[in-house]
Parts: sequence; structure tokens; C-alpha cells
Amino acid sequence: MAYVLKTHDLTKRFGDTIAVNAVNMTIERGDIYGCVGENGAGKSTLIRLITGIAKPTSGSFELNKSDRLGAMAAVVESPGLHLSLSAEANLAYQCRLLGLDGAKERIKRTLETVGLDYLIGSKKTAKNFSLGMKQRLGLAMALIGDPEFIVLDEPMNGLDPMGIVQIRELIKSLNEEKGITFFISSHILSELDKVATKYGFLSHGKLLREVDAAELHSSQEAIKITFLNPIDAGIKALLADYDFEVLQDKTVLIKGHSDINKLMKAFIEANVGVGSVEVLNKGIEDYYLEIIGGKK
Amino acid sequence: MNRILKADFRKFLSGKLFIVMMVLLVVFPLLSSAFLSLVFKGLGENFDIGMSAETAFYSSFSPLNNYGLMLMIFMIIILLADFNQNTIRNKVVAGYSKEAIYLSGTIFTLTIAFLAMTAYSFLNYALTKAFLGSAGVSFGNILKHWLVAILATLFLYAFLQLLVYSTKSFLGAFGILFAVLLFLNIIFFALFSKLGSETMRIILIFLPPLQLSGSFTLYDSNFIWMILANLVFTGLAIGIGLYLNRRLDFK
Repeated sequence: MAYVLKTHDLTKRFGDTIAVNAVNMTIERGDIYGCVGENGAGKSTLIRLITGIAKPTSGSFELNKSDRLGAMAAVVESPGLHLSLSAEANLAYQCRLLGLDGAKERIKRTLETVGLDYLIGSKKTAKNFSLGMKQRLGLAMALIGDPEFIVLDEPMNGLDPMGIVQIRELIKSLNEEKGITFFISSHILSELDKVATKYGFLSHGKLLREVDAAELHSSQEAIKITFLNPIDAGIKALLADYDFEVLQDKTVLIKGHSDINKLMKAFIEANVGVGSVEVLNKGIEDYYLEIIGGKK
Repeated sequence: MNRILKADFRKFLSGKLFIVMMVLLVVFPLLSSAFLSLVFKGLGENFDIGMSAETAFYSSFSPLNNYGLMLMIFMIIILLADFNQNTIRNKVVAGYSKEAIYLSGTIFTLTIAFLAMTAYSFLNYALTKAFLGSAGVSFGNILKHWLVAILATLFLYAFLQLLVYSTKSFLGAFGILFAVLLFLNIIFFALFSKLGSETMRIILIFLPPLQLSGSFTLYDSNFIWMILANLVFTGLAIGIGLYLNRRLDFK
């Protein structure tokens, strides 16, 4: 698959502090790349580097996108809005900046897409908008140029629960229908978990791991089986092909994604009595904590 | 770059600050010339207050006086808005180079400074001439003075933009600029009595901001040198600004 972004030992220092430390990441076309990390992990600095707002101290990055203006868009930290202008005037400014035709229709369509169509014709200026409205207008400013790659820094900030659902659905539909690639940083892991197709875990400026969402979820699955009798060599032999851990004398934890039916069939054929079976799914939060070595 | 300019000018022309600038551009010369006329009439014709259309015209360009100071503050606010509201990021992310962004900002700033100061100085001249009369300086010399002063103004605004992009703060940009102007004025006039007028007029060639003080006529024998020096200094300010801008991060 073609990449959209590739970084090579990308580094940013502020004096003695290394905000981004030799990061090598790849974002493939069509990915919704979730960038996860604690406060101060370097997410925003990384975003500022790949969007060209800040200059790397060392290292480089490649953007594989068309050369037209607006092919890449971003909402970094607080959205860049002209506070003295209305929502429509903000978008009209962006259209002029990108040299877009049919601005009026485009503005209307974009405001509808982000759920701000009630502001069409309104003179209310952006400085009087709520945080959620600003966030949506920032997204509209990003979308108006039909970008191929969108970078979003904490896009759910300031949104109410309904707003969060709408933005999440919007990201998913833009990705699926228009093939837009996303790079999203968020500390709301549960939300990221609902959209991301790939993850990058940052801590103290370092990219600790990149993993596909499917692989992450599979690795976080486990099956807890409690047998009627203590675990003996026979049971252990049946589990030889699995990554398992004996928790108690009758209970075993099989890590990763496993075929339960196949397991049960094997136990029945070997005449092993099973008391209970529990499927566990720990999710992204536990995965993240495991990676950074933290405790819940 | 044309698209940035088009977008920025449309925004500026539809903004409240533009209306305020236009109102002040008319109100300041109207009030000052009317006030001087009243003072002149009150003192009687035998008392010379040393003011004429020409002196009013010369002092119009001063960045430390009413409209000059106001314009400087307004331009800092306008340029800084792009940083404070994070809208400069939209330009970078959209695909414009830092050079294109800086140069379009330079053209925007210098165009406004050029038009505003030209309109203000000639309006001041015309109104003061109507109220107080003229000292008889030919219009050709008035135009020569304008040419040098407006080029010195362009240097000042190129320097102002450099400061705004480097400090990204109102206090930083305005503080440095104001301090530099004040310092130059103090040193220059302190040395004036010691070095004499001829020497100081040569020094004046190399200090464009002082050409704007209103204390000197700028159409003398150094006219060409001052034009050349102002063009070189403006070019240098833009060049240094571009260089620094390439090295510095946007907010």
C-alpha cells in the first residue's frame, strides 16, 4: 500500500529537552492513524513537524500527496479561525486562500457536513462560538479544500457526547467514502478505539510501537478456562500450541485470539471436564499501559 | 502568493479596523489643522507659531506622532492576529511556503503603510494649507520629500514585520520598535549640537527612521542618497526577515 507520510528519525529539541526523539513512522493511504500518548509525550510537536508549522532539529519526513493547495489539512490544538469573521466568512477566506471555485455552494455543503448549517446567513462571529462550534468550524476549514490527508489534534476536545459521536461518524464516513487518510491524536482512547485502523504509541517523545488495530485487538483477547479437575500434563499437552498461563490449579488463561470451538472439541474428545469459559478483551487502554509500563 | 494577498486584503477591507483607520485618517488632520488655525487666530497675525502646511506635511510621517503611531499599532495588531488566532497555520498546512507567507505579509504591510501614510500626509498638507497657508515650498520639493519619507516609512514597516514575525508578541514588537525609535531620536538630537547640521545630514542618510522625525527637509543635495539608502535598508530588512522566518517555528 502507498504511504502518505513517512518519517525518518524525526527529532525536535527545545534546548535540552527532546520533544520528539528519532521517530520513524509510516502512515499508509486510507489509514486512520491514532497517535496515543500521555500529556507531554510529543504528540502536538510531532503534528507541528509533519504539518510544517515547526522545523525539525534533525531527521526528515516525506509526504506522498498531490501538489495542489489544500491536499493536506490540519486542526492543530485550537482551530485556526478568524475570530472577527462569521462561519461563512471564515470558509470564504479559506476558499480564496486555496483558490477554490464555487465557494458559496461549497461553504453550504461543508457547513452541513459538520453540522453547522444553522449558521448559514448568521452574522455571529467566531469569537462568540462555543468550543464545540469552533472545533466543528475548524474541521470545516480543513474539509473545504477536499483534502487527501487530514491531521487532527484532539478533535473531540470541547465536544458534547452527541458531538463526539457525530465527529467520529464523520471521520469514518470520510475515510470510507472519500478515502481520506487521517492522523488523529487523542487522549480519549475509547473514542480513538472506535475509529483507528492503526496506532502509534508515543511516550517521552519516542515512538514505542506501531500496530494495526486488528492486530492490537487480537493480541488483547484472552480466554479464561476453569476445569473441573486440577490441570495436569494431559491438559497442558492439549494447550501446547497456545500461549497460556496457569492462574490457579484449575484455571488457565489463554492469551491472544483463539478458536473456542476448536478448543472445546479437543477437550471433549480428550474427556476433560470444563467448568466455565470466559472470553476477555482488555482493549487499547490496557495495551497502552502495558507498553508504557504503567499500572491501572 | 496572490491568493494569500487576495484573501488578506478582502478580510482587511471588510473589517472594523479598516473603518477606524479611515476615520482617523480624516479626523486627525482635520482636528490638528483646525486646532492650529484657532491658535493662530487667537494669537494674532503678528505672532509666528512656526507652523505651515509644509511643517505639518513633514511631521505627518513621524511614527511617534498621532496617526503614525496609531498606524504602527494597528499594523502590529493585524499582523499578530494571524499568529494569535493560529490562522497562519492554515496557510502553512494548505501548502504555502514560509517565504510566500512572509513575502505576502510584507506586500500587504507595505501597501497599507504606503497608501495610508501618503493619504494622511497629503490630506494633512491640504487641510493645513487651507487653514494656515503655505510657506511657499514648491510642490516639486514636497513630492521629493514625500518620496524619501515614504521609502523610509516602508523600511520602518518592513522592520516592524520582521519584529512581529520574530517575537510574535505585541509587547515584543512594539516595545523594541518604540525603544529603537526613541533611542535614535535621543542620541541623534544629543549629537546634533556637537556635530553640526552638515555632518548630521550625512548621518541622516543612514538612519531612515530619523528622516521621519519632521525636523528636516528631505529634498536637499542628499536626496538621491537617501532614496538609495532607504531602498537598500528596506531590502535588507525584508531579506533578514525572510532568513529568520525560515529558521523560526510558527506558533
